[in-house]
Amino acid sequence: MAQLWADLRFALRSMGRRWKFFALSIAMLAVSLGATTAMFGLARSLLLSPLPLPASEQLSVLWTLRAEEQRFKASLPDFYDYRARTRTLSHLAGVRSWLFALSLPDRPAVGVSGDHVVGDFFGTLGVTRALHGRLLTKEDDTPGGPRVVVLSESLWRDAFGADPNLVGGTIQLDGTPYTVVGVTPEDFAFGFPGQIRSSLWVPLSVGPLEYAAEIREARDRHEFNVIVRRKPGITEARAQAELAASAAGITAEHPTHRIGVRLENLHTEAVRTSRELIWGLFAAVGLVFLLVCSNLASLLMSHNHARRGELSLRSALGASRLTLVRQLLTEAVLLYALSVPLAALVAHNLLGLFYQFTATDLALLGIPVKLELSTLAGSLLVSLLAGLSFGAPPALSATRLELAPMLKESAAAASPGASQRRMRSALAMAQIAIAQALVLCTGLSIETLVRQLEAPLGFEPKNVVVGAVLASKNEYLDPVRVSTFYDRVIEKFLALPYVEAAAINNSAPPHDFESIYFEIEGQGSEPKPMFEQHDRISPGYFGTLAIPLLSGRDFSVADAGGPPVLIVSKSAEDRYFGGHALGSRVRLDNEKVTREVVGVVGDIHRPGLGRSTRIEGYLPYAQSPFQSMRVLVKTSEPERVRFEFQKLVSSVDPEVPVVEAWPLEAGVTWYAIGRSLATYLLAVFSITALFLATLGTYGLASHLTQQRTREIGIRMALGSPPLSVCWLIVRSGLSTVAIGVAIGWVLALAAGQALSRFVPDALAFDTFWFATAPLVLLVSAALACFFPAWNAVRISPAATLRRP
Amino acid sequence: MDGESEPEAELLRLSGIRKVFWSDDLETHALSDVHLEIARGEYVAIEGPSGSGKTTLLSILGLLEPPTSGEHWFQGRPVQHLSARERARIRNREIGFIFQNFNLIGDLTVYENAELPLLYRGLSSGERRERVLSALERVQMAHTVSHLPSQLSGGQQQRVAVARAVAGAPAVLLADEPTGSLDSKSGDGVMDLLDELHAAGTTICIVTHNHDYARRARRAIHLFDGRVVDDQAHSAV
Repeated sequence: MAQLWADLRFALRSMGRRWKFFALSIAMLAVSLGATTAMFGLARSLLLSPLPLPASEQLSVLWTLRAEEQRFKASLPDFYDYRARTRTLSHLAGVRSWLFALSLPDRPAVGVSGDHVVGDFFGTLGVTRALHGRLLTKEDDTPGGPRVVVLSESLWRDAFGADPNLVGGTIQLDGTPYTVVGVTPEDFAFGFPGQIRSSLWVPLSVGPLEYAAEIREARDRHEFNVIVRRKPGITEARAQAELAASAAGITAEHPTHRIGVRLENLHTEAVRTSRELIWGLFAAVGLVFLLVCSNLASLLMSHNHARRGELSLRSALGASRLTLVRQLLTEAVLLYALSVPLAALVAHNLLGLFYQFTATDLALLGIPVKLELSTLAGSLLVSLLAGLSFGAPPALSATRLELAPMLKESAAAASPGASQRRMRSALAMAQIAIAQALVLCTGLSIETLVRQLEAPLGFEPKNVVVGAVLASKNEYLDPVRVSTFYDRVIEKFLALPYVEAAAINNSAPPHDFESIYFEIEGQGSEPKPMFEQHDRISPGYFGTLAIPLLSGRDFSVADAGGPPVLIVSKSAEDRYFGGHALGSRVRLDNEKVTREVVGVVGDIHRPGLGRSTRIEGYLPYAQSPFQSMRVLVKTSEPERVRFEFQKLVSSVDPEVPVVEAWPLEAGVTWYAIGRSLATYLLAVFSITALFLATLGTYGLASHLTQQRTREIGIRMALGSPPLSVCWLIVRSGLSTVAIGVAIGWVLALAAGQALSRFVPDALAFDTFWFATAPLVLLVSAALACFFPAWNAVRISPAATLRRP
Repeated sequence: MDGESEPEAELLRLSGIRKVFWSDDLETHALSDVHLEIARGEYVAIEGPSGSGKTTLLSILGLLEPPTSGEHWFQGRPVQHLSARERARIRNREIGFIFQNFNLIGDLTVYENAELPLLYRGLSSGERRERVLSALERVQMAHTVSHLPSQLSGGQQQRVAVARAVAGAPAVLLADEPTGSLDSKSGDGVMDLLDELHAAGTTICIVTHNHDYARRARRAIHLFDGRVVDDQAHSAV
């Protein structure tokens, strides 16, 4: 113990004397470890910790499976059947997102996202207590019952000034009075994955009656996200088996309605869109941390080498090699340990930044993100292990001593023998190989992510502003009136000199909104073909988003009163129409009419990892309008349009709210990430990785050359021309580095191949990285060898030989 | 051999020692067929021209490096095949070193430098303190305990090195050109110190170029081309 204290004391003193070296090392470690800790903290909070709901592991999402295992929401009749037949589930709830127009005194109506709920919604989630009043129960979901609503704490606070008397009072939603029966607890947040966070909940039975009555009978209208809670002790597999049997029973009773069921854990569902990015970024920052460690190992090797005289003396005085290694390891571990408090500070600051662009769906469920004490403890442990792992090679190398010559002369002057030189060269090669492999793996990881994030979407979101418009007044239940309203809104926008195009759709791409099966006249194929997305659009939509019309025609105003028509995407044409869709006749599952395919357009691709092409059908919105639509405006002044959106809509109808207006580029979350913050961050990581590897290689090459200073002096003293000596040294150093680089290159190639087998979409090879990184390392190594050699040949050989 | 005091017992014995160094393509025979015995209490000087193998011999005697071949006994025990760890243990407990360039650690104080071998030996703090202060007083450097080596003159640094060497009460003191980096006055001071230590019973083996200092020893061993060419006792100066 006394020796350990002495080692620590000496290490601290040694750091104090060489504070610049150690401060720089600690700073590098703190930043890289901090980033790694933040990413791990994020991954842990979001991916590894349970959802902030009671017994959340019992919660699952119930998906309906149709042909080819495609996932659908459930229809209401199916939901009721599952509920009636289950013995393994304690609770079921159906949720349908809805945009409500909330009327407030002395203000225009505002759009508020909420849910129509079926069944015991709050009971399913395990929330039993309200902040004020009560929560909804399954008894509230009774046709003809009182119109009641529960508000979220944030809506209650922001829109109603946290008025405690609001409970029991009424508010106007979509022009209809609802009684507020309660406010949810402050820490409760809910938004179904892929949707937006809800601010109020209304029982379906008391919502728009026409809608509720119609949907209650329609088995083909897959509009409800269903959340289930298993009874205690029931496994997901058992519940899945029971629900599959129920689905088979439903199909037996309704032969045209062929369905299956899949239960997906709610947490798994919530992390689906963020998981790859979070783990990808974690891997990237982890690799940067490893590079920093590798570099520090190089620096420590030089540092320890300069202390070989001292180490020899300690050995002569009786310190065993183990004792010396322990002393050097104490210093290395102390260096790493000292970086931990700073790393915690860095992690704390980076956590919020990382959260902003990685966790979209997760934020919906209000998952708290924080750095747990155990995460910081883990960070300390990793740091200590890294200190031991990366401190050991320099320590082992420096304590391989030849005592007599070291003690006789000053350590630095003692020229290493051939075997020593070979050993050091081998160590340098190994380090350079590791650095090269790490930087290439980092590059591959980063390039994989960037390519996924920046892949073409099939449409151009730049300078397009989207407004979610909610024409929910009762008069707009009339299809003609609502179409006329939206036509006038489009006209208003097109009249502005800075607007190039405007159109509407019931959803903003590339988010999937509604899939649908269809039949092609004269084919009758099984399984049925399916549009993964079907949009209701206005004429000019394709031009607004620069989606190319490949054949046929676009919709026109004349389609409003004309025969039913349809436009399909190229992938739909290739897959279902044998490459010739024009003129085919199609009937959608929820329609009785057949539509003629009049056009084929380019595909839209889903962004992100595991991206795919969307098989899509487009309907003229005038033939099947919705009340809630997205107005898309292509403009040279996006900010101005955003600002004026409500004003323009209000000029057509002052009672229609614009829920939100946003740039489509930002709305396409993954796309936005690809273009902005994440790309920027990943670029920073990659440059950092290359810089660190270059720095490490420079340090090692420089160290190798400096060891030969005496040899240079001797060669100069014997009359060798300076340039010849320089070339000799550079050639020798470069050959060591080149071997290391080549080994690292091959290692990275093998790692890339292995990774691409296990991770879908992972790049196995990238020309830029595999060509640039070795080149940069070799050039830096050449410079690192040249400058010390050049300095040595420029001064007199005698001075060189006298150097310590 | 020494005529004044009868050696108590054999301390060191070398038999047929060879030491060969290989560097690149060159093979250097530093020592060839060296036979040598040193008894407890002896004061031996090793002399010879540069490259004759003096330092190599001292390094082997001090267990700093093993011989290429031959037999080496220390305190009656063969040591040529001991592990590095065991050799380090013997160096720590039984051998004290004094080097030409002092080899004090610049980051440690005088006290800490002298304490180092005792620390490695695992002695308690109190015992270390007692021995270190006693050794520093013996070399008249007790007033510099808090100084760093850079704050001392060459002679003072060598005194501290001597204190470090004797603090652990070693069986033998090996000094390699202990006055080589000192002026004559400081050199005389250090040699006087060694005389005192010998007078107190310490076994000393010194490598020196200085014939006058070599004459202070009771026995002189001459090396030439790695071989012992002369081994004779003489009277103290």
